Amino acid sequence: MESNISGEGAKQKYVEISDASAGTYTVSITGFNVSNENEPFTILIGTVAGSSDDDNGSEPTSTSPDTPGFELLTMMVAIVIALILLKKKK
Amino acid sequence: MRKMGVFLGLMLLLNLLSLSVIVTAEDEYDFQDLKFAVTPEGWDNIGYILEKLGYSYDIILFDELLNLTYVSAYDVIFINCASDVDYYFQLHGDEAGPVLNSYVEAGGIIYASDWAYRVIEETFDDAIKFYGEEIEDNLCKIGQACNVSADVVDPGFAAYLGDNIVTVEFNMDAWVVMESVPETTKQYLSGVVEISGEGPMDVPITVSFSRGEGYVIFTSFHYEAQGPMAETLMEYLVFKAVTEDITSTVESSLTGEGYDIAYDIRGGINQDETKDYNIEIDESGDTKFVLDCYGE
Repeated sequence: MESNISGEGAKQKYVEISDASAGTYTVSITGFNVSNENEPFTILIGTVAGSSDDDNGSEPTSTSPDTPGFELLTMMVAIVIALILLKKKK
Repeated sequence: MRKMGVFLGLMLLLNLLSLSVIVTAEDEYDFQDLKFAVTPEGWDNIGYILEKLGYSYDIILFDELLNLTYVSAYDVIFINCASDVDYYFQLHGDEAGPVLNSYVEAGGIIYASDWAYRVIEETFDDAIKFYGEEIEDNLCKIGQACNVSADVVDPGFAAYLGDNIVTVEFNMDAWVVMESVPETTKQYLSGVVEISGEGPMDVPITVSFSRGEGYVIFTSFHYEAQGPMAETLMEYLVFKAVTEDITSTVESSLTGEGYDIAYDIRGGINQDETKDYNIEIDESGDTKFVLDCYGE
């Protein structure tokens, strides 16, 4: 499985999973140093269906294949993506 | 066993750390920057929902909808279901239609409910097929009062609600029935409703379509008649309105990379608040989660 945190720009961030297994995922975000109530955000999730080479839905490869925690959660078919908003006043 | 527990804990921590993202944003966003206008209360009272959510708004009269400069001062225009809006647009649709079309093309947002369908008919005729419109002009006003377990068709709204089913109340007879919508019109809610002379029928209940930089949302129900669902829907739609520009940038980026948009989630978050969204990925394959907010 590949997890990739974008370094482009200062605000838009992403997590990219190559060959993600089908199943239920939980996307979790936490407000951190948020100065306004109900700070608006958007989350888009893009998929490329059928991009997997393995029809059996095997464990995805990872840029950090030695991170067993990630694989562990994958086996549970539930992955927590923690996206933390840091909001600074001008 | 204890070693295994420590190992699993460490692995979980490592995983969370590896996925944590710090987003710096220097600009602030203020909801009060948004300018809302609402037509006078009729059979529906959308202003009541806005007030409950703490949003301020101006009342906009029908004649003022004929003035592009005037309407362009507002980010969102809510058009209440009312007998006089139907009557007014039958008389002045030729004048109001081009104005509202230009308003939406330039980025304006219109929310209309029930008998305000006449605005859609006169301005965006191809976006929604109302029941029986090819037979008789007013034939679509045949919905019967009923409670419906509506399917939340839009995955983003379902994730926001945390449910795939909501109860929708049609509190009056003669509500406007949508028969179908083209693929370019997005459905939020659909359900089996009671229709006079037809019995049960599965129809769209809340839909949205884009025109240029803006978009239009139409609901067959009255916002005021709903319980907390209407507030949640309104909240979601307001978040949709305020995040439209950053979302379209992300969407272009994702589609440019070859992704299909599976989920479009909008929302707001407070300090130290955590929000969880359950996502169903139907088929294995490359998946990308993108978060964006305001600021640099």
